[in-house]
Amino acid sequence: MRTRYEAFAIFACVLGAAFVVPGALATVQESRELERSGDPKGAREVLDLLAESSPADADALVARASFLERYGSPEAVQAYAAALEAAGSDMGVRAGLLRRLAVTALMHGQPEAAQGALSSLRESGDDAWDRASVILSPPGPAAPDDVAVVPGTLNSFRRMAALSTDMAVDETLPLLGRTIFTGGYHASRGSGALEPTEYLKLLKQYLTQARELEVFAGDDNTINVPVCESTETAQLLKIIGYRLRGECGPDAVLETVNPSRAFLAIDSAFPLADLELAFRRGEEFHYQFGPTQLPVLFGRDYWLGAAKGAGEDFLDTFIDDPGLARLYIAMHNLHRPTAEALRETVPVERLKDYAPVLDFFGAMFEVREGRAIVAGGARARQAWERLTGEQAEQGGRFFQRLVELDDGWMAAFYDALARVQGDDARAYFLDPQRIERFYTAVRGRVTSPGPARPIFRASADLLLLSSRLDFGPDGAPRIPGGVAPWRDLFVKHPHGKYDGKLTESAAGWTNADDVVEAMFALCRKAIENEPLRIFLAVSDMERHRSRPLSAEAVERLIYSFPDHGEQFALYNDSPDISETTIAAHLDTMASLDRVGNALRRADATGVFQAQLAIWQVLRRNGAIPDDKADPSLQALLSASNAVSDQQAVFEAGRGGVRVLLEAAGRDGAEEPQVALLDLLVGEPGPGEEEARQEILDNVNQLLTLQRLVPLKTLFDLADHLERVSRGEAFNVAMANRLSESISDIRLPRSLLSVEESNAMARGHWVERHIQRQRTLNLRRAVDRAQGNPGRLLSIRGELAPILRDTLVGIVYALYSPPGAELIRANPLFVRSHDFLGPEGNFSWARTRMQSTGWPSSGGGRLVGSLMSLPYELASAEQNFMIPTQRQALIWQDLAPQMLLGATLPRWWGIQPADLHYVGLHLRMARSVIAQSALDSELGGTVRSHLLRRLEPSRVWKMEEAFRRGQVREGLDIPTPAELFDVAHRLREGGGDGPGEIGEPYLSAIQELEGRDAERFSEARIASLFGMPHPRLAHSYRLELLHVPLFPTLMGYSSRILAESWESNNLFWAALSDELHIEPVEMNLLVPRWTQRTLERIFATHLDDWPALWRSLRMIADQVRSQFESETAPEVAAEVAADASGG
Amino acid sequence: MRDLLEAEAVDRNPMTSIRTRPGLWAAVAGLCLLAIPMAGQQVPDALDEPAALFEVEVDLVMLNIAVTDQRGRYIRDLRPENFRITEDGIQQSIASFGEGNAAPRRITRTGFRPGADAPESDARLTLPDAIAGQIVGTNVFVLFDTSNFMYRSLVYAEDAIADFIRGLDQADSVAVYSFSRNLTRHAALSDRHDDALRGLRRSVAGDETALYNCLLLTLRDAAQVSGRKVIIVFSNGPDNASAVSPDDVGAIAEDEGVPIYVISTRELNRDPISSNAFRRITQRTGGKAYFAKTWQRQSEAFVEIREELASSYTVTYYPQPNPNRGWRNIQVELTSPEQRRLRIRTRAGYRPKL
Repeated sequence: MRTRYEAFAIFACVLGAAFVVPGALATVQESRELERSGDPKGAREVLDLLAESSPADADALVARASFLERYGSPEAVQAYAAALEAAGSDMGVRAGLLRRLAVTALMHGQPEAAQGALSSLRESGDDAWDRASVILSPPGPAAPDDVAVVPGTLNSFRRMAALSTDMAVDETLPLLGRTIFTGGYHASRGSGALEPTEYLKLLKQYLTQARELEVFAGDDNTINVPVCESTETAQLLKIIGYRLRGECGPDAVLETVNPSRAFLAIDSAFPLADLELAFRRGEEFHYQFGPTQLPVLFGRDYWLGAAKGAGEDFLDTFIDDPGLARLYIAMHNLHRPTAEALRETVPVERLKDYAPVLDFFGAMFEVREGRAIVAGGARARQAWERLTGEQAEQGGRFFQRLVELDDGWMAAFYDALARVQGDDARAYFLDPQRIERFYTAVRGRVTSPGPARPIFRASADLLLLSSRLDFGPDGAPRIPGGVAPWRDLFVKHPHGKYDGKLTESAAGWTNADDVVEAMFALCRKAIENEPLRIFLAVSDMERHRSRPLSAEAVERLIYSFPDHGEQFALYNDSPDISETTIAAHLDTMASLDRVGNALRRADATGVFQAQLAIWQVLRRNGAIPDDKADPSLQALLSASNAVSDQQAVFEAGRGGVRVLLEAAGRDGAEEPQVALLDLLVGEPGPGEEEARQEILDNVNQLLTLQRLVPLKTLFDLADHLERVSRGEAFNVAMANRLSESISDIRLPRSLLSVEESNAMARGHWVERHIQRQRTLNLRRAVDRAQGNPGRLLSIRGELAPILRDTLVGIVYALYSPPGAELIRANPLFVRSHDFLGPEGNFSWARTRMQSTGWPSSGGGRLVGSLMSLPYELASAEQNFMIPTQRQALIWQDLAPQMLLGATLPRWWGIQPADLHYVGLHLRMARSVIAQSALDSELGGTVRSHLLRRLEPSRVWKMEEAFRRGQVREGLDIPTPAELFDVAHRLREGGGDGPGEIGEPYLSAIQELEGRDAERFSEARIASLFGMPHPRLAHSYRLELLHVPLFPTLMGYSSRILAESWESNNLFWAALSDELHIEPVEMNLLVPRWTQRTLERIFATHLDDWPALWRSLRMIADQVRSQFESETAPEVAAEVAADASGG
Repeated sequence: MRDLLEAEAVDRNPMTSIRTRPGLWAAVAGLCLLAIPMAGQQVPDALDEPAALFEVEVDLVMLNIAVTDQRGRYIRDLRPENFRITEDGIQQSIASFGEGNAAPRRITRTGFRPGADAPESDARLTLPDAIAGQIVGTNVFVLFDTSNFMYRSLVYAEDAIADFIRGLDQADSVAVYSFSRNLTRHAALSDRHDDALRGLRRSVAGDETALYNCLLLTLRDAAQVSGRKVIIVFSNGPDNASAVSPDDVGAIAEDEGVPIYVISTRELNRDPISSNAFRRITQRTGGKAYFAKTWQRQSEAFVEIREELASSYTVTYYPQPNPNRGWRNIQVELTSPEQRRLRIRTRAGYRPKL
């Protein structure tokens, strides 16, 4: 018998045939050429034709099967089966084909095909895959330890309990626990004792009603009403709170008699309309209403032992005890063997006391074969043992000690360090001495309140620091500007002390560890941790610079952060901005702040920020080359630095447009707005003009809807006024054209007078800004100037607010999310942007929405700087999404980030090979993981790679699914971003060598890299298919940060979680590759797919990112099925959008 | 495929009531062209050229007109010649005229005509039967509040809405949407009223109230439907989450020609801001606001709306040449002096598409 590696080597030769071209020489080669030339669809057609015309040509069939597998087509399974039939008798070749057949069948959820292939392998004497029996005789789902009974249908219960109906049955109880804990109780005003919320009261009332209905349904678990005029009708209607109005028959109508009961019936989806219809039609009514059994982890008795006032019914007891519910969630979410170990070693009553700590910080705990597997491995073990006072050998006891220490600070610290990614970071943070040093800093003297006390994790900064600290080439942490500026921040802080102890110790700081230690010490602060915010923001600036920032520059940045920190993102989109320019930018912001006239300050700030926003986009898309970046920014800054009057504001705006166009290589012959939009939308590749035009049309339509005056109109008028000042006659027609377009602006018909509005809104200058434009009368202004050249010239200043709106509007239109309802519906939305804010100090602050939910306000408006405009526009738009699921939870902070990731990228000049490169990695990881389900040796290797990226509990769940023969379900546990990382890890050091386990993907990857290594560099792929990270990386540049998935964090809600979710564009790229969609179509399809994904999310709680992952897969399945019946992607997208009501 | 998409783009022109069902495309395109000279505009040379089938856009304006006496009773059996319609003072020629749910009849120079047997020579002067047939019945979008504010009275609201749906004319189509922070489509527009009732009874209560956001989204859906359409909002009043203003939504409804009716369960004096917003938005679109605290009053309001749908007139016209691309003021008057004291309710105007 050949070893599996020998068999593979033979098979690899056959797969290589697709490249080397034996038998079906010309056509397979033709297919290859087509694929290389960027036409995978054509390549596929050639292979299909070949398979049809030469069904016995094994080489051609293998080439086709390999092609289909590489592109992720489920047809690969049948293709391998066909190749097998045509294959000769060579056992090596047959074994190789059987292996691919088995693995692809498992990946695509075709267990019967996999079983057939594995049986054939066994029959041929090949038993190298020692776990194949799991697939051949799958044990099926594990029998639950015990069950809890839910009265009535599960979906009704889930509706009433606000649980997603997408979840598996065994997830119901833990999810219920989460909602009970987070939404079931609130503290009473008087005593502070927990009282049930309205949600919980309704849930309990529903359970009562459901039990009554169950009794009514009887032994056959069916509610039967044989005829309208019956006692059953009366009994049923009484339970559900309705009565019959009118006679049985066509006039029968059900109406509410008991509103409380009726509400429960409606809210739990009792089929009232069908019951009424049965009465009207004289038909029988039947409705299945039997109990549902929910698996109970460890059995009911275990939990009842810790319940307060345990009653007869487990469900009632569970609902009545939020502490118990919290422990249940915690234990369910733990790595199962670890949970078992804790269960054996710690009494349940005691565990209950530490349920919050376990819940928040237990995800990285792992007990394997009785021993605690500690973060940092053997090197760090002694440090952890010293800190906990318990041996890792003790398994469960070690983690018991970990959670019991210091009100949860030890557990929070351990959790943060266990999630650290990257070799440098792991080496640094998990150094034994630093573990002890940094922990001592985190712990402090007083440990209360602990980080698990609030409803959200309170240790957000621990995670941010440990995941975002930057490391230099020498593996040491990079401290921007060296130690001195940070020491001074603590010693000479102008606004008081951050921390008295740190202020004392700072004078003695000498190295990076001192600074990092101080940052750890501040991580326990419950209020905003400003030094850490500054440190991370400046670190992100330093991260991509070719020359480090000087100490002086860092010091300037540190002290500018409170007022201007939000603007630092500008430097990150173009990392090599000179320190001189950074200083000039800070100076310009300060100088604008000093402009006394509020209206002029708003105009000048708006013009300035819009220009910088346009500059940012032009830098990101490469329109402004590296050598022009710094000079062009300098020029913009100097123009805005001295805006002594309105005319200067206008000139700064006009000059800025000229600077931007020149920096991007435009000669000024084109209309400025046309040229600017052309540059902003990006440079298309051959054949991409149509998609690009669609985007351009959309931008122009939004500008028209906002009734913004084109730049050319404004500049022509300004030129004319200049000529008038030299004696030319005033062109009334030209002025009238401007007046007409402005007079069409509708002011909202406010219920309040202007005075009342201003009084209530405390300095809202927005209406004045608009009113000023509406009352602009250039002719009168010219008349009043009485021919004075200076006064005539100064009239151009009247155009400044109009220019501001046009420039700001361009930025709005460019960043508009799918739908852009706010921009479409409110013609004053752009003009209403408030650059000053109610107190006049919001000019450089984060953009935020104001005046929503206030019908007299004239609609919501954005306030603050334009720096975070992309996110806030997306945030505002999320409320116009239409969930397709009842009780769907569109996360407040998650949806905008997803929309951002879909609208910011521009996929011009992308080749199908770029998509294929991503697709190959995701599929290779899935293939290898699927194969690991069959092979214990490979399973060990794969596990070690997975554990570097996934929490132990998720790896265990995946392996458990494999043990049950549910390979496809297990494969759905890692996310696309995780798969992408795992693929890289497998390539870097995959045990026996990736070549043996990664085919046919690996050869294709290597071939692509061999053709153009730079094209497929990690940095380029990340810049195409990564995500923006405005909070985590202080930049809107697309990147893959390779950070772990963060939980919901106090102060950030789901925003950091959303930014750590880097899977979307990788997933869409792989899907486009699979369906041979032209890359340029992604510009139009990805925003639509993303919107549909968000609308399909059915989540139960804020951390429920698996619901997002599930929704992505569902939308992908819909797209696939539409592509089966449609030939063009855009049509499929339209059909889908229509089907979902979009 | 592109052709289909372009056709759809034309189909979504909200000013065009004749964008109806796919099967009607050829007829629609041809008749759009024919309609232009009727409106007194220049006959394009392209008329004799091969039809650019999917490129034609026609500004057919549709008005829902309710006529009542001083006691609020609906006046029926009026005829086209009883109405005089002007747009920015320019008199318009009525293209079709219908009362209640009856199919609108096309208008020739000599008055009503029966449909199918229209002689070829008259074709340029008439609204085609194929199109008129699409305007039978009303497309009713019910948008009801399931936010926290409605939590206590949701079941009664549902009963009232269910009664309303049951009582609709068989020719009417109905869609059932609900809103809280987001919009939910419970039942798509359909003449199967049982589906609407099922959808209605599937609602779930809770969350904030973004009435105007969701009304805007409902309008977007309604705008894509041909024929006569109305939106009926059932709400408790206070909006606390919308980012769009009632006036912006009202303006869009006005432009789209969709009357909005509001039944508010909130007492008038408890929330004057919302009450005023309801009044403004309904008045400018030709609808009506009802303030009904008890569920009996709510049911009565529904009955009245149903009666109005059955009693109001649907009038279409092709606007005469008008250089104004901004707001166009519509005025509807009754021609007979003895009818001058009657009250007319319709939308105040519209803005042509930019």
